Parts: sequence; C-alpha cells; structure tokens
Amino acid sequence: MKHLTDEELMLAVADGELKKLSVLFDRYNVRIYNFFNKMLQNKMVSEDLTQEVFIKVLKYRTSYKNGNFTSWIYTIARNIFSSYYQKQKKERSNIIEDDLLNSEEKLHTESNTEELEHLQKSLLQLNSSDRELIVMHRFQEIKYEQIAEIIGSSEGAVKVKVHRALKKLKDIYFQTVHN
Amino acid sequence: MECKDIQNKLIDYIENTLPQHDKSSVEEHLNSCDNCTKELKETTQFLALITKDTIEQPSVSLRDNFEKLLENEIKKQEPKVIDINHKTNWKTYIQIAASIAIVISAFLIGQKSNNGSNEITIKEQQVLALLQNQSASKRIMAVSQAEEFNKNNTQIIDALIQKLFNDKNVNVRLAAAEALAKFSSLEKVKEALIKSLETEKVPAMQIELIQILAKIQEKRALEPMQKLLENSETPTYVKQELEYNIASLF
Repeated sequence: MKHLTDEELMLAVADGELKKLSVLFDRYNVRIYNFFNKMLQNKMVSEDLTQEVFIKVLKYRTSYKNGNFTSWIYTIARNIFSSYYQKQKKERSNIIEDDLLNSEEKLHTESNTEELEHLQKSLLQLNSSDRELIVMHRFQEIKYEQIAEIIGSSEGAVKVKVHRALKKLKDIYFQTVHN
Repeated sequence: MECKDIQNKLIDYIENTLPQHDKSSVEEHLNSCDNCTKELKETTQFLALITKDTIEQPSVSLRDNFEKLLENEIKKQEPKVIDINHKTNWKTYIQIAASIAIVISAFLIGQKSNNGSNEITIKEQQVLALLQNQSASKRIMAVSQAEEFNKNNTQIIDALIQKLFNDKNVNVRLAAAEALAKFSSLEKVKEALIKSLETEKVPAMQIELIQILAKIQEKRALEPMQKLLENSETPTYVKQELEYNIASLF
C-alpha cells in the first residue's frame, strides 16, 4: 500500500476501501495539524479541527474526483478553518480581555526559542489570508502552483501575495522585537 | 530602479531565483543604498528564522479518535442484519415463506368462510403485511397493532419474534420487544427474548430486554446478563441496569 500515490489511495477510499484512509491519515495528519496550529496557536482546537478534516474526507469521499489530493484536503481544511474563524469572530465580542491574554500565553512551547516564539506572535498579528499564505508556503512548503489551486488564484498572483505577506510579517517582527 | 522595486525582489534575490540581469541591478543598487542593505539583512535573517521552525506532533488521541471513527464507518458499511448464526438464517427464510403461505391460505380460507371470521383474518393479514413495510414508522404501527391479538395467534407472534431479531431499525425492534412482553407466558417468546439479549448490540435494546426479563422473573436470563456485565464493551449505564436487575433474579 505504501507505494500507492495519494490520489490512488483516495480513489480507492471513494470506491469503498475505507481502510486505505488510514495510510492517508498517516501521510497528512501532522501536516494538517501544524497548518491549524500555525493559524490558531491552539493545540486542542487544532486537533479537533484536524479530526474534522478527516471526518469530512470520509463523509464526502465519493465527491473526490481524481484531482490533486493535497489541494483537495487543504481546500477542506481551509473551509473548516474559515467556519471556525467566523464563529470565533462572532463569539469574540463576548470575550473579555483577560481571556485573550490567557490564550496568548498558551503559545509557549517547550522547544521554542525566544525568537521563534516572537515569530509566532507576529504571525498572529497578520490577517488570516496573509497568514495562511505564509503558513502554506513557508512552513508547509507547498508550491505556489498548488497554493494557487487551493485558493483559486494564479501562480503569479500567489507568489506576489506571499512575498508581500512575508514583508509585512518581517516588519511586524522587527518592529516589536525589542518589546 | 527605485528602492521599492528593489525591495520587492529581495526574497528572490536571497533565494537566488532572479534572472541574471535583475540580480546585477539589485547588487548595483545595494552597493549605494544603506536603507535597502538594511532591508536585505533583516529579510535574510528573517527567512532563516522561519526555516528553524519545527514541526509539532499532535497528541496520540488524534490517531486513536481517527481509528475509532474509521472503524465505525467501516461497520456502517457492512449490512446491518443481526446474524444469530448461519443455521438459523435458513429458519428465517422458512419463517418468512411460511408466513407468506399462511397469509395466502388465510386469505383463501377467509374468502370461503362467513363474514365474522373474515374480519379477523383481514386484520391479521393487514398487520402481517404492514410488518414488512419499507417505512419503519409503519412497521412500528403494525407491531403495536399486533399486541391486540391473543397469544394463540401463532403467525402474529412468529412475525413479532422475527422482527425482534431481524428488523434493521432499532425502534422497531424495541416495539417488538415491548409487544412480545405481553405474550411472555409463551415458552417460545421467553426463549426469543433471552436469545435476543445474547445477540443484541444496541444499549437501548439491551436495557429494554433486561427489564422485560427481570419483570417476568426469567432465571435463564441470568447467564446472558452475567456475560453482558463482564463484557468490557458494555456501557456503564447498561451495567448499572444489569446489576440492579440481576439482584432481583437471584
């Protein structure tokens, strides 16, 4: 089973061989989890959302039609992220400042150096569309061409956007580095 | 080129993806512009930092939950018939065939006989037909109507037993169990209820069966109840029900 491509595996899953989904889970769960965790900086929620991605993959398996699997699963992940994000935004008006501070404190992970921690905080200050471009291209090493497919844009436009977002992030990072 | 144009090219310059011509003009500009040189330094430092970021591992529960999820989905894929064992499958077919034969013969006999008995057989026939209806709510309706027959009506009771084991809808099985409780003085009904407790997997059904069997003080049910109690897959609330009712059977 290991030699099969993602696409071959997913077609088999769509065809009813559900067991093969566990190979795709092995290949993708960490990536998808890290995508969410970079976007949200919240491990618990990221795990839940990752779980949700695979629930959707399972539920809508028959709608998979031989396209690039990475693009397909990231499209699902983005949709899940955006509905989570919208929901949060609505609820956020009810959250008092203290809660926000607390959730920021959760950023600290054992292995992170101070610089990386600061990078994470800067990342959170970007708007979510810039953030997701950086997460996908820089942290997840997805090619421009594929990102274009995922977000429904052209390769050239994606490249320009990624570069702009990186510059914004860099500026945020250096402006706040001494705080 | 202006500073802005140069700065837009810096990432490509650092990653060495610029065409030679652009590369030269960037270098030329950098030689004479401190501001852009500072920008270059920052960007280089920043891109290097990003590459230091490490991949985090999710907790094991993510995989555990996924595996449970997949297992459930695979189970759902399989046909939902409750398999008592292969031998009795034959019995079921024969039971169905027999009940159809009985319905037809009852119909024929009913036609010949007088009006009074005719009514009963038509009612019976309706209930038996309704028990095989596609819609679960119709089948439940039929089961509750079946309760009104008396215990000497073998076809109806056999049909209810058949529903108790084989209906794919748990609500129909529940209704069948409730209806059969009314006929629990019959030996074959008792046996069916015990057998059902041994094979039934749905907790709501298990609880219903436990209650019925305890109510009719069926001591032979102790063994399957004990097994269910020892089974690690049995949910806690079913176990509580078992503990309570087992005591009443001693």
